[in-house]
Amino acid sequence: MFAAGLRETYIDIKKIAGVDTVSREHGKKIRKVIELFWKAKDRIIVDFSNLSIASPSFIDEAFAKLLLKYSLDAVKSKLSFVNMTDFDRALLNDLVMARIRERNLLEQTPKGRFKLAVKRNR
Amino acid sequence: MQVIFPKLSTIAYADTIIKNCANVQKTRDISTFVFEKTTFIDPFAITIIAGAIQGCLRTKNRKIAYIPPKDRKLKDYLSQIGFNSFFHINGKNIHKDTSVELTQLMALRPLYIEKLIILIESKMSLSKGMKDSLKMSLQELLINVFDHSRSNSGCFVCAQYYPNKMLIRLCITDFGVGILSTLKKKYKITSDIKAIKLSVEEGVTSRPQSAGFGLTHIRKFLKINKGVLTIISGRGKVDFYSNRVAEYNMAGAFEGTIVNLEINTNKKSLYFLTGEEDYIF
Repeated sequence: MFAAGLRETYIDIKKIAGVDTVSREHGKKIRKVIELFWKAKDRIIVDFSNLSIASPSFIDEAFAKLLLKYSLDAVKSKLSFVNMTDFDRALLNDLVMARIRERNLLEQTPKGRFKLAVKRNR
Repeated sequence: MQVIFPKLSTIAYADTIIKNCANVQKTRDISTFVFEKTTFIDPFAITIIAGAIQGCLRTKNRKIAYIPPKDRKLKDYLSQIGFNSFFHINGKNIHKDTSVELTQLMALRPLYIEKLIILIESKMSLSKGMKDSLKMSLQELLINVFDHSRSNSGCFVCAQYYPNKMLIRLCITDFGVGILSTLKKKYKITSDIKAIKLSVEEGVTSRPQSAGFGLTHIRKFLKINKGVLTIISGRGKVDFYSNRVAEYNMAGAFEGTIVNLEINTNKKSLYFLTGEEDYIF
């Protein structure tokens, strides 16, 4: 499933998810795999094998939601996406921006900061 | 009881068609669906009428009758698209170059979506951006149906390509609880129109966790495409155009949700949401 390097690992979406790249539940499965490697690896390379995902639900749940738990710098340095279609890359960036906006809003209130802290410690 | 469908049975006559479909489901008499004078029917009308027929037939010993259109072309089209099979009439179900057969889905099936996209692509020449946008729209709409609608009959999907107008009409109809009923648990709203307008806003969801990007992205896509997104639920009907929003209070309520997309195929519409220079990944 994974070709692990020294401190680097590949996550092959096609191999893990097959055709299940549509719903939030499908996306959550991928996020769990990413989080499994989060501490142990310096770099997680997500390979899309030029699959067309075209699902905001899947992409948000798998990747963009990480921005609610980890800082943008941490996510940027840890994750890279290869063999991704232009459309999916556009979707990913748009959803990441939306999650950053959400995070900024949450950071403005005590209740929001508490929510973020709960996510960070989960 | 006879229900007569308009000459142009399209989303422009949503009120009449919805009222007809609600009336036949209320009565216990033999209901006759009359299409005698109908000359044109769009995916919206096809999906909602198919759902109404099925709703009637779910009642034991319920009888329905069908008076087909006099218009030969429309009669053949309804047969080919699989509409007649809902009346238990053997249709020809011939694949036409420009239509996607009426289908009832009972679960989110990724393979069906893939197949449908391949089918649409083979019948209608689409740019890559358009194909991806269409796939995104279809996936997100089906996710909404199966995550939120609580529909016992799943949903009805139908699409039609109009080559002369360079337009695709795609409609997904479910007979579930509707948007207001889903969102009012989390948001303080009381009207169907407000619920529909809220549902396309970023981050709006009935889920306990943050979500709600599906309809927002479809709206963004159709804005770029200069298409139209129409959502009907309860007594509300809202048309989202690229530059304006039109809302209507309908005379009769529709129990469920109808999402109708009008997509221009002459626009490349490659879906770049943020400028590439702003990309983080």
